[in-house]
Amino acid sequence: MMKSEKMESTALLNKCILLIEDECMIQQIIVEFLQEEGFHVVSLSNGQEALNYLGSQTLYPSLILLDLMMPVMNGRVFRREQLQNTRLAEIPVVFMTAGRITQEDLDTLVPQAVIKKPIDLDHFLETVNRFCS
Amino acid sequence: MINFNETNLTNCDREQIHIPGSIQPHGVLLVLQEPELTIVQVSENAQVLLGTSAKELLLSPISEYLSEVSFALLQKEIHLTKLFLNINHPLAIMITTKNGSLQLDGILHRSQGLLLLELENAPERTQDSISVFYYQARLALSQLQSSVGLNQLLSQAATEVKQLTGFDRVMIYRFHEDSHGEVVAEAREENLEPFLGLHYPASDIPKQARVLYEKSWLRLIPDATYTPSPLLPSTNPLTGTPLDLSFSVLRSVSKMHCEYLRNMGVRASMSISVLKDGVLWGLIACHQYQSVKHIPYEIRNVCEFLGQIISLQISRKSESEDIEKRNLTKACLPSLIQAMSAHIHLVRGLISVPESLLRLTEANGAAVSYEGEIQLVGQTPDLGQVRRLIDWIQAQPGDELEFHTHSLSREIPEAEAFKGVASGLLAVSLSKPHGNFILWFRPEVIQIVNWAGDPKKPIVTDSGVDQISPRKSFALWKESVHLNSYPWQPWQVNAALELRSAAILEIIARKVDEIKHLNSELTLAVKSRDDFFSVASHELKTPLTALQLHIQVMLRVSKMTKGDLPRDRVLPKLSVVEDQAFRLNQLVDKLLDVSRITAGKLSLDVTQALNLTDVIIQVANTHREEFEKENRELRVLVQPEVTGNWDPTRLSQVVTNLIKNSLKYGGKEPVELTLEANANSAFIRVKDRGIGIANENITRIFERFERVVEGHSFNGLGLGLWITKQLVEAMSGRVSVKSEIGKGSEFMVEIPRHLDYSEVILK
Repeated sequence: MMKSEKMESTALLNKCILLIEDECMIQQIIVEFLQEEGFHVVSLSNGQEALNYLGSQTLYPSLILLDLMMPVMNGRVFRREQLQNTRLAEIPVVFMTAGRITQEDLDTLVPQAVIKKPIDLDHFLETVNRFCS
Repeated sequence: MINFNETNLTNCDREQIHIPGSIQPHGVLLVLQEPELTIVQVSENAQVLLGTSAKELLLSPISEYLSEVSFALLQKEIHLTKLFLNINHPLAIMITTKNGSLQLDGILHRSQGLLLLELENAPERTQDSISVFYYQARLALSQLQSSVGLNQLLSQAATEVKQLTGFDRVMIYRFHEDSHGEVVAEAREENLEPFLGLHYPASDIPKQARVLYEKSWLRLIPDATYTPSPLLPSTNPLTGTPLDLSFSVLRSVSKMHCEYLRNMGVRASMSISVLKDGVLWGLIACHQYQSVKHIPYEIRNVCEFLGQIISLQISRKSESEDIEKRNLTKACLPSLIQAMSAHIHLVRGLISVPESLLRLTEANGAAVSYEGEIQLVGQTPDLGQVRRLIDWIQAQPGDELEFHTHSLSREIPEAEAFKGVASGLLAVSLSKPHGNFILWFRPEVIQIVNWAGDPKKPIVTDSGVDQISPRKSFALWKESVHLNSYPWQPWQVNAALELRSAAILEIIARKVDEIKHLNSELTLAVKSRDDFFSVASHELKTPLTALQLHIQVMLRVSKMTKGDLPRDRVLPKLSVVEDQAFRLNQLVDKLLDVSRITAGKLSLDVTQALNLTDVIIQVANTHREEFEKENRELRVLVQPEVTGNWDPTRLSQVVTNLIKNSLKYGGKEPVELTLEANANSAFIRVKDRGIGIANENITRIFERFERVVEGHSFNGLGLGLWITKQLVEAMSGRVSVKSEIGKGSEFMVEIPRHLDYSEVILK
């Protein structure tokens, strides 16, 4: 059972990105940009919505773009939940934050990459491509 | 030689009472020169007692007048001892006179190289009377030894001496530190007026008498109306100076003293010294009123012995009583210290145990002055007087830890006004520059003297004004201690200093706690400021991020597009850019407000009358879209035409903040915005049915940088409510909140309608 679940968890959809960002003006423009670049984007506005969504899926996105400061469930809590869920743990996550990332964050939350806000689009695209090619 | 006529109250201290040159006439003094025992001086009354005239006796060897047995006895006694020759006293001396033989009691001692033989009539002694006497003496001794405590000892001693001697009155007279005397125990015939508790001035027993009493333990005056019998010749033939009669029991006493006795109606008197550690402590004073009284040698001897016993016991008992007193004093300290540390307020702690505070120094009143507050306990001067006393102590030079006096009005004449409560002052400083002191007060002695007799009884004088009597003496003493309290004992001063040390330790401990508390508050403040900066930077970066992304996308689009830009793609982005720039501006304004409020530089524009109803409706309309987007309802209920002198921008800011707050925390339920007013005030209420606020957080929500909701789940600077409160208060209004967790909150702002702003130019 465990094994089949694990197998299932590795089934990531290529070029499919989950964006978790509460600020709608940022959300909209990122979605627009990524779609232009040929990605399929699902966007949600907090960690709880994202957990609910992932829980209902059988196939998973190839990358999660995660804002850290959000209402209801912030990015750090989401990441901890995700890491504890064996089916979700292997989805790569890129943090997007205006705040400070501490060494402790890096050690315990082990993001695959960090993008600082304000965002430089070229760097952003390059990072996304690394996980979705 | 003293001329008796010159004796008066003032020259008492100069009278040389050890060399009176005469004796009392109830005995004869023979002064003998060794080795032949020639009579070289003799009292003039020899004729009366011995039947041989003084002149005849002078320069004869005493052997001529003694029986052989007596002479042998005398010689043996002289050889047996060198200085004090009283082992076999009294010597049974048989004098041979022209009229036959005479049995006399002889007492022998040396003075200035001569032998002094004092002869008195011998009482009749039977075997029975001797055994009864010794039984009495032994009984007296055992009674004294079994007495408990100083007072009982003294009162027992008075009783025993009265029993042994049969005097009408026996008093124990005690000298105080200032040499004045007090009757501390008494045994008397019932018909006599009590003297117990009376005080006498030091002059009643002059200094040289007290010196003499330390040497010679017993004085006897069988008849105070006696005529002194002079010595012949008047000076010591060996030295040419008057003969020293310090140890003579027949020594003639001061005429002053006899007059004093006669004025008191005393016919016969005896006094025995009581010494403590070699210093005169007091006297056992005996009075006989109507009759002459001879006290035979052996009774005198027992009385003197009792005096010595009492002297020894006094050292022991008064020491143990001192120790007891000191222990009592010390016993007060722990309860005071405990009360001090148990109480939030140090001073109130001290005065919460008034008995201990007063007992510590045996004071009748106390005052504690600490950090501008003065608390009084017991009998004290009034608050104003105490305050002036503290000012006075503070103004004194030096930095002594304590100050004490038992005569305060000698230091500050003003103190005479409250002599009845504070003739004595003991003060310890907790911090002199700050006027922090503990003070103890004692009343004037007169106010608390233990009156045995009737103090109002007039002083009876038979004749001239110079005449003295016990009552008159008492009045004299009262005069001399006028404005004095009982002196503070060294251990009481020490106890006060110990309390001072404890209080200071307590104060220091509290200051340390205070500093720790301040420090942790400061740490918190620093932390919340750091939090604020991180939240503020996040809040600023969010619109910046949106701005930048939109601009970058537009740039990309522009670069990739040849010819005209696609309006449908670019225009919405420009609109977002404008919005975000506006948002940034608002944020910066908010931060500027914080800095203005903090610096006290917020200003209000109240030049025009404002219709608050319009402002409320306008703010509501601005937010209506946001509510609709969340599928929520904003219900607005306003009273029309609510006008007043208000700053439109600031009031709209207040309402906006409350609305935004309800948007954020109000859940999905409707929000009610109402405006009401009466003649004096306008009331704005914003009520939601959201998550509510826990009781313990109600006050925190109005503080700077506070978001009581944990975990950054809600964005924002945590400044909205703080700014709201500052603005409302700047308008002399107040903001309050009623809330229940899970049920929602209701914020209420009350602002006065008519306000003279010139008076409240902002803090």
